[in-house]
Parts: sequence; structure tokens; C-alpha cells
Amino acid sequence: MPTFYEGDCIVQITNQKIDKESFAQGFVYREKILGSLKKSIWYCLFFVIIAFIFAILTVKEYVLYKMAVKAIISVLSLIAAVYVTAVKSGVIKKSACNLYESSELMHSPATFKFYRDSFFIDTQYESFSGYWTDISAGVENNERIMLASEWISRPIVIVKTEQNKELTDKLSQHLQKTLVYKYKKKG
Amino acid sequence: MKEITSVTYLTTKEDYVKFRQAGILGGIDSQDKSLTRVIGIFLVVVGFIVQCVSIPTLTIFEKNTVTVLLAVSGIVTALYYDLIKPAFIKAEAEKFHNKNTDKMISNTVTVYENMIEVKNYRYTAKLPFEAVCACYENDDVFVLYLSSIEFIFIPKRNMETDAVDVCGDVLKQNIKKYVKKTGKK
Repeated sequence: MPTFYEGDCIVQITNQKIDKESFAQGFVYREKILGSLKKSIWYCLFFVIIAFIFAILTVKEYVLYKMAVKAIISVLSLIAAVYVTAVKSGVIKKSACNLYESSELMHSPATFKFYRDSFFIDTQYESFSGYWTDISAGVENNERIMLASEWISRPIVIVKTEQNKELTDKLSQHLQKTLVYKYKKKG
Repeated sequence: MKEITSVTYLTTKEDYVKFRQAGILGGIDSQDKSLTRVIGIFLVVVGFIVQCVSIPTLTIFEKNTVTVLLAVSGIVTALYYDLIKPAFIKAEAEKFHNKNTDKMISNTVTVYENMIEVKNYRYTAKLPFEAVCACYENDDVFVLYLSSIEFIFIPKRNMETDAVDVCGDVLKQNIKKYVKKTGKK
């Protein structure tokens, strides 16, 4: 990227091939940060309140069929609450697996180059670049580093278990320093 | 390698809305759209029947409420893919564009006889036709689907009529799934 001073490449990860599970985890994480799972807790709260209101109305009702209707609405709201919190992420994960298998572009080996101000991702057919300000959030656990960007529709995942520990530690430190509060390290 | 056509464009807000609508709606199966319309009409009809038929256990208020709920949900369902979803996509796209106007940079898309090349400041790609899952064409744009979540747009506004036809023919010959919906204008 022709830009202001960046210095040398801080970390380079060469030809990383992403597995289906890592892709799916990264995809679900991106959805939680930027996509349809972003507001799931609020939807859950909304459905729980509806379920609670109709449960109270059911108890107070004395006509049998009206009681049944209100009870059904209450139960359906509870099911919706469970769906948006627990089931939907599973559905999205499944669709991510299908996406992974549907296109070679999604899982072709990638080379990542991390600089002070920017990053590059090169695959067989494509080259992506971006600044750290393009990253909305990042999370790290014992297995992966996952980054979510509004500008790159697919998940950015570094599989730590397949890389040199020294390299991933260096990257982790760099990301913590660069993304600050947008980056969470777990485990 | 023979160049078929090359388009350089800056994505305006109107462009971005049209691209997003074409990209998302073009990927939806026409059977799904028809089924949604049928379900919507069915709900409206049921609402009409509830209003016409005498149900002694329901008060007039309850009956009217049920009818209104069924009719509204029926209309919303029937018009979902024609009005409601496009309106949501438009609102979302406009919001995104307003927030990121500075990042809407110039793109160059070149179609060759055996591949497509995309160039902008942040993304470059040389994609063989096999990497493109599907193509959707409408009056404004060619949408190339790299997956269900990634699209490349080739706007027609900068292309001569002949170039549009030639480009359409090349894409049609080389891409597995090709859907053309033109002629609204």
C-alpha cells in the first residue's frame, strides 16, 4: 500500500490454510460484531418481555380458548428468545460451513503481512489491504486470532495452533497495542 | 488475452443502493419470492373470511383486531421482496455510504475472454470465471457473485450499448448460473 511511513513488516504469516471450523468460528464472530447476531441480546430481551406479559395475561384469563391463545403466544415468544440467543448462531455456523465448501476463494491459502499502520492479505487470486482503523474488533483465544472488518466480507482468522508461537505472540502484542479496547484476549 | 470491456467507476450513493439491492435481491430464488407472495395473499384472504364469517365467541373488537393483524401481516408478507426488503436495503446502504463516503474509492473492472480483473486501492483480483458462482444482470448493473456474501459490480452507465451486449454474452457463456432481468425502463 503506497502510504506514509510504515516501517518493516512486523509479522508475516505465509500460506496459511484455514480449516472449516476456524472459518465458521471467524464467520460467527464477524456476525456478532457486525452482522445479524449483533443485536441478538436485545431481540432476546424483547421476546422474553413479550413472553412474560402474555404469561401474566394467561394466568389472569378465565375463558379457556383465550387462555390457550395467550399461552401459545407466550410459548412462541420464549421459543423466539431461545432461537435468537442459542440456535441462530448455530444456523449461521452451518451456513458458514456451506459457504466454506461452496467457493475455493473462501479457503485458498493466504499470506498475511502486518505492518504498523496496515495489513495485507494475499491469496492465489486476490489481494486485500486495509488500515487498522478498518478493523471493527478482534478476539484471541488459545486456538485462533479472529478479526472482523466491515470492508472484508469474509472472516480474518489466524490459526495459532498451526503457527510458530513466537510469531503469534508477536502478532498478539502488536494487535493489543494497535487495536487497544477493540481487541480482547481470552485464555 | 483479449480484453472485452473495462469499466472505471466511482460508487455514488445511488450506485451503492442499486448495487446492494441488485446483489441481495438478485440472489434470491424466484420460487421463494412467489411463495412469499402466495402466503401473504393467503393471510389477507383468511383475514377477509374472519371478518365475513360469524364467530360467536369473539367480540367485535377481537374480530376486528384479528382481521387487521392478518391483513397487515399478509400485506407485509406479500410485498416483502418487492417493497419492504428493498426499502430496508436502501436505508442500510445509504447509512453505510454516508458513514464511509471517504472510503468509496474508484474501481476498475476489466472483463477478459477468460477472466475478470478488479482493481481498487484496497483490493485487487484476477479471477478466472470458475471462481464466479453466478451472475445477475439488470438494467443498471452486472452483479458477479463470488459467494453468497461477496459481489463484484459492473455498472452499465459508463458502457456503450454494444459493450454491454458483448460483456453480457461473454459472462453468459462462461459463468455457470446467469440470470438476466432487464427491460423495466
